[in-house]
Order: sequence, then structure tokens, then C-alpha cells
Amino acid sequence: MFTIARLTFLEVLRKKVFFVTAILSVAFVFLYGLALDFTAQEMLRMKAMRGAPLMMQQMIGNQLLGAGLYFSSFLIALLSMLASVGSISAEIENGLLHAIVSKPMRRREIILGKFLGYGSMLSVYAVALYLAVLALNSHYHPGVFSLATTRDLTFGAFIFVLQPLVILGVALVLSTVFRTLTAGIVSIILYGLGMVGGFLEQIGSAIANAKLVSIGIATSLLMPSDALYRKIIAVVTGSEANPLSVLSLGPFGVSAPPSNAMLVYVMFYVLISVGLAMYIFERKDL
Amino acid sequence: MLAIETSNLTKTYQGMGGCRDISLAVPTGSIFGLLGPNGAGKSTLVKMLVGLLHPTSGEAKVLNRPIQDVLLRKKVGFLPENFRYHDWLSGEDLLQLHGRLFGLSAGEISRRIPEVLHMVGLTPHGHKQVGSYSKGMQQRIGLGCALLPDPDLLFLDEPTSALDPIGRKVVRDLMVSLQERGKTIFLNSHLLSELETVCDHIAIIREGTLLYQGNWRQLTARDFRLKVVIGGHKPELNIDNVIADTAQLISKKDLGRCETGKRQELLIACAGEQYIPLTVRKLTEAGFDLYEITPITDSLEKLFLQYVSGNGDAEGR
Repeated sequence: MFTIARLTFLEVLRKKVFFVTAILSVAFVFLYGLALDFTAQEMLRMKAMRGAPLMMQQMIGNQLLGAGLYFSSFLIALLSMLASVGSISAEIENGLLHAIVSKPMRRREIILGKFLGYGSMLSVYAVALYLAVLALNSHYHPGVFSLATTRDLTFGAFIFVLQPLVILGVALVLSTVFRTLTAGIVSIILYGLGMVGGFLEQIGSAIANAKLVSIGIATSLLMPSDALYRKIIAVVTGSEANPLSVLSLGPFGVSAPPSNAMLVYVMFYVLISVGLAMYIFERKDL
Repeated sequence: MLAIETSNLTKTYQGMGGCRDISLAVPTGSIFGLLGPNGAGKSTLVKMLVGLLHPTSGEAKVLNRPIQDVLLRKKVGFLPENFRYHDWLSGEDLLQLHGRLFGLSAGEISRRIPEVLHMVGLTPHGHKQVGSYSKGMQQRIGLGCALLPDPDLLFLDEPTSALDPIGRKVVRDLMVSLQERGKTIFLNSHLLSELETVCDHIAIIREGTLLYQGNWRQLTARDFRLKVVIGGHKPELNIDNVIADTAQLISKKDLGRCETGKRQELLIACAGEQYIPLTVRKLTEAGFDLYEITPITDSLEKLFLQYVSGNGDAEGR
């Protein structure tokens, strides 16, 4: 299992999609830092002229932090999907798995090895991106973390890492069932569904529409990636305890943060996905 | 002792294709050839035996263990037909990887890598990336991967499809040397000439059904024929009568005159190999001079064509 995990880890580093995503991430962090710098300068200018209201600083800071985490979540989701969606199907199609499955190991070890390999690489990548976004915000808008403790920020990192693991679990299941192209399309649709569901839930919560909230929750249960993003925002900005959080609403804000029960659900979701991928792959004819 | 034993092994896809009721017995220490036209179910059978396909019904034992037992594969090597390996690894790194997948210790892997590189003739290329190998070299490194655990049973699915004549000879010699060490080789190949050279035991399948299995040389030796060139023309003697007790004259052809006199070419059918010396003795006792005796056996190709065209009998099945 660890041989497969090591092989997978090294293999992902060699993939073009990793290289492209790494370059995009560096570009994103650079541009994001530039945007934060300009905003900070503008804040200083406003403060010098007539004094920037604290509430506005908090609002803009939250929006910028949300944007940073949202786009970094998107990048990591993209990498998770594109790197892992062919992990089984493509290797069946090109015959790479034939020489591996015929070795003295159980097929479930191959799935577990791949999950560990992709999972560890994506986790390292996710933590690096998360820390970069947080470091930039803490430098330019330290006030945005005024309500968050170190424990909250660490907890946020844990939730951030859960995002690619959710997508990885889904991609592994799809990759054992479908051909690579179909698996890729289905996983992108599911991810999009999760995003739309998340928006519906936020809108429903803001206008107090129970039906919209229910649809959003149901969608989040099917693909909880967006719910995780909302939870991260709530945790790192301390918006659950912040009476002014409602003022931070916007495309990247959160009006109804998911509960911790959702996190427990997500952990089971990942475990069940990997278990399901093992079950299907054990019975699959190659 | 049997290296592979299957009983009514069947694999169908929604009730179609695949192979049906294959009951095979592969003797330990043999080079066993699997023959059949395209789409006969050969690869399906091999894939079931190495664990890539799950049988629909029936049973199979490999090295005396049910095929579902993954641990039996510690001593089973497999070279897939559509071989593809991690081309970003060097040949040595690929062998390292496969050694670990076989569960070999670090010491065993270090010892075996130079050995198998030598066996497949890739010693000078071990440090190069597999992606830079030619197709033939990739097939040979695949064979090296299969040989790593010093397997008791080796499945080779079209092992020489990408090799040049020299490479084919290397693989052929390798198979023979492995057989001499008591290893069993299960060979699936379209190249009948190749099978003819190394295999005694074969199985022929067509449309997923086993048509024949056994020692093909014994089968073809049933109708032993001889081409005999004789001299010393004796018009008073009827050759039919001379050899009547041991053989039967099929044809006779005059070859014309040469320095030593008139020569004839005879085609004679014997009931078996044991009748050849007796037939020759009868001819010499009758006063004929013998210039040439050539046994004529049926080729594997002829036997194969007989079976797949439906003219073979069920003997040996």
C-alpha cells in the first residue's frame, strides 16, 4: 500500500496538471498580494483624509479574505479533480494497472495507496496555499483575524485540507466506475452543483426562505465542498461569534455557517467514498 | 504435478463472449502454449488466471492454490500483452518498484535487479528512463519485472510481439533455461513457429471453447511419414510388398538417372516411429541402396488449422 502511495505521490508531482496548477497558484498569490497591498494603501489614504470607519475596514477585509480562500479552494479543487479522476480508469485504459493488480496485493490496497498518495500531496499543497492567503491577510489587514484564535486558524487549516480529500474520494469512486472523460465530467458537474447549492443556502438564509435552505443543505450532503468553504470562513473570521458578521455578507461571505455535525458528516463522506471505491474496484474486471 | 488446473472455468460478458467450461491441466515444468484465433478467449483465460478478471463460474488452481488467493502471486510472474510501465522511472527504478510490489526484501531486490537485467539483455540500459526505451526494450524490461521473484510460474502474453529476431532468440533461450530449472511457462502467442520450437504441451481454443490440449508432438507422430530416396532399380520387386508388414507406400516418383544409376523418391506412411528402422531394414535387405531418409511430421500450424477449421478430432481434450 505504501509503495503505491509513494509512487502516486511522485507521479502527481510529474504531472503537467500539477505544474500548471503550481504556476497558477504562484500567480494567484502574487496578484492577490498586490490587490491586498493596493487596498491597504487605500485604507491608509482614507484614514488620513477622514478616518476610515472600523466597520468598513472589517467588511472589506472579510471580503478580501473570503475571495482569497475561495479562489485557493477552487485551485485546489481543480488540481484534486484533474490529477485523480483518471487514477484508476486511465491506468486501466492504458494497461498500466495490469502489471500491478497481478501482484501479490489486494486491490483495496491499491485504492488506499492512491488515496494516501494523492491525499498527502494535496494536503501539503492545500496547507501551503492556506498559509499563504492567511499570511498575506494578516500582513495587510490584521484586524480580520481579531476574533480568531490560533486554534481557530489551525482548525481552519484542517477544514481546508478536507476540501481536496472530499473531491479526491468522489473522483476515486467515479474513476472506478466510469472511463476517464465521463468521470471528469461527472466530478466537475458535482463540484458545480455543490457551489450552486451553497449559494442557494446562503441566499435562502439571508431572505429566510426555508425551501432554498433545504435545497442547499441537500446539495451540500451530495457534494459538501462549498459547505466546507463556508465553514472555513466562519471559523477563521470568528463570524459565528461576531455580531457584525452580517455586514460581511457578499459573494464570499457566510450568513449560515454549517455546524460541526457537517464536518463529522464530511469525514464519514470521505471514508465512505474510499470504501466504496475499494468495493467497486475489488469486483471490477480489468 | 500440475502448475495450473482449471475446472469448467467460465467467463462471459452478459452471457456472451469470453470463454466457457475450460478444464485445463498444465504440467509443472512445461512450456505450455495457448493457441487460438483472434477473439478466441485466450487473453480472457490468461487474465482470469492472473487475477485481472473474475470468473463467472468454475474453479481454477494455480500452484495448488485457488486463484482468489493473492499470496500465490508471490511466485507468479506475468508479462501482459498490452505492456505499459511507468515511463518516467529508470529501468532499475521500475524493477525496484515491482520488487517491492512482489513483497521482496530490499536485499533480494538489490540482488535480483542486476540478474534480471542480465537475463533480458538490458544491463547497459538499466539507468536509462523507460520512456527512452524502444518498444522491444520496454517488452524486455516488462519481462524483467515478471522474472524478479524467480517465479515458479510465468505467464507470457505475446512476449515477443515487439521484439526483433535477436530479441526473440533471447526470450526463447530464456524460456528454455527456465524450463530446465523446473519452472513452468504459460505462453500465449500468435507465432506458431515460436510455439513449435519451445512447446510440447499446447491447448487450442476457439470461440471460447477448449478444442484440444495435450502433447502436440505425440498427436502429429500418430501418422508418421518418411521420404526415402533409393537407388538400385529392381523392376522385378514390388516396393509395396517389400514394406507391407511395417508401412504403406503412399507415392513413388522417379528422380531420373545419376552416376550410380536410377533413383526413386518414395513417400511411406508408418504406423509409428518404432516402425522406421524395420522399414529401412526391409528395403536394404531387398537390395535397395538408401540415399536419404527424412521423417515428415505435421507442423503445429497444420494441426492448429485442422482444429480451428473444425477438422480436428476430440482426442487429447
